[in-house]
Amino acid sequence: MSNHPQAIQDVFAKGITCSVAIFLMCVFFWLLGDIALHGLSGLTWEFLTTSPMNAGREGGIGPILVSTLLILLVCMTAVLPIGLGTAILLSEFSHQFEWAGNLIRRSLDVLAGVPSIVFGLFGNAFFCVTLGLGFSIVSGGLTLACMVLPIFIRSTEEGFRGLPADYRFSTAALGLSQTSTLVSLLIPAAMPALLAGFILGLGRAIAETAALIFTSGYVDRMPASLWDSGRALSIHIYDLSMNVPGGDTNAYASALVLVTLLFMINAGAQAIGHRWSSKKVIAA
Amino acid sequence: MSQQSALPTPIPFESQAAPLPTLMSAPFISTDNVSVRYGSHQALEDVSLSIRQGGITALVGPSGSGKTSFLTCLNRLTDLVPNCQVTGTIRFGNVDILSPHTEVLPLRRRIGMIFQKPNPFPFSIRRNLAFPLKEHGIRDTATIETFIQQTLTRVGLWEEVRDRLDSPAQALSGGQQQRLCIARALILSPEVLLMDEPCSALDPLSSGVVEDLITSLRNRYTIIMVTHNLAQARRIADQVALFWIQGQTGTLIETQPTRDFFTRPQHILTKEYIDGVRG
Repeated sequence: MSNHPQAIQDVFAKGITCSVAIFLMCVFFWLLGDIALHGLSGLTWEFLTTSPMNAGREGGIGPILVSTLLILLVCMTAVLPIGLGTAILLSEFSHQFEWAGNLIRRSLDVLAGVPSIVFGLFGNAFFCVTLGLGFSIVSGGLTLACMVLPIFIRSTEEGFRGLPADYRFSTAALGLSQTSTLVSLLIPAAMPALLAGFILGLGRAIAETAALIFTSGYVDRMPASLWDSGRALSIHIYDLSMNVPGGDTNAYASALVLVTLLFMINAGAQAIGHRWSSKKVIAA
Repeated sequence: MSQQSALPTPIPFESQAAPLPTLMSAPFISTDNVSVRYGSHQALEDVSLSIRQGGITALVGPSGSGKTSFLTCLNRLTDLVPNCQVTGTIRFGNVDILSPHTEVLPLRRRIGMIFQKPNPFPFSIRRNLAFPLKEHGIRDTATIETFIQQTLTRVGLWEEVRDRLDSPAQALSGGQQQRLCIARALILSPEVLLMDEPCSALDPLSSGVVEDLITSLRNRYTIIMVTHNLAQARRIADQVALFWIQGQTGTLIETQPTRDFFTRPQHILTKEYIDGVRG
């Protein structure tokens, strides 16, 4: 090894970056390991399918799992079209009204940083009261959508902006419309960024408690429709660990389900997205 | 869609070898006082130029003299540039290109463009060619396959890629990519080809192959080509136009048939440019 001062500096810098990365990985695995260690024992098929009893100390999380999935479904159904539309507007068309585009972008950046409790109060006032949706899965899902949209839009917009400008010019020069360029080329090519935004947003939504307490409620019954209230997994975990002495085992098992759910949805979204875009786009 | 109904049947390439019967004297494209502004910056001023059918016109001149801006006016690609304003008149046959009533999509089908950097889509070789055809209303798979083979043969790429039509186009070499891009433009049977320094991003060998290809397209297509390579302009162009930058603004200095341009330049700038004194 060289004793040259610059070489030593490089070795030092490499050491620091490596140890930071290793440290972060350790934290991640510690967290996962802790949850898995304490939660695995409680995780049974019965736990996943039955209703909670005795404030959640016993029984399972069946209705809670269903409510969580329904809330996410409502949230993502709202986020995908609105978010994709806005991202396309901002990246492809906003040069025609630059000041408005910048205003929208600035607003989204501020919104992305707003604490979730504020979204909860807004959701309660707007969806539950003004629109009369009450404490319901729809209210909760739509409130989460408001929270997720800024993240999803900005990440997707960056994805579109990152594509070579060549693509727009060469399709235009072939007399192709902007719509077919978007559908056949830009959206498939921006799929990785789109998925990243989707997963980032989903992560924020699935972990949310504060915004949901005020909107989808915390009743742990099985919801009969989207207009019923329902308790999300994250609220259940919060409740078990804060308000229910002796609920730790089930709290851990629920947390394990939450993390697994996140992984599964990530993998599913990746697979579907890549499958769709690989039919259209193949890079070298 | 209107551009679908306007789609003429492409002429089989075998019959394209013969030059089109043309009125050599009548200009095919003529521009009258064309000026381009980007916001407050006047990039090009008062360019009046006549281009006859089937010839190769080379646009030469230093960087920033507005050659590419001029080229992109001809297929209205300037529409895509924010704050870009084009004034003047450009006639293409009986079409007024700059008129707001002119439909740009069918226009761009008739006036193809090749860019400096080869820019195949991130698709397979086959889909790079099939995609524009399908978008312009040709759906029949057998027809598409025939067009693909004819066009790839035309640009001399068929033998090189016939066994890997489904592999990524972006894995081809630079010269092959550029020939694919030319094929992609040709497959729509355009009448005019705009080329923005089509050889400058290529190695000398590929550059030579692409240049030969361009020469072979003479007469069948009207070619307008920006080039920094004076020797190339001399080799292949029928007429040469010199653009120059004065202040911040590009202008057209002189247009001459190639032989006259190099042997009897009218303007002192032209003489100095071809002698290598300026530029």
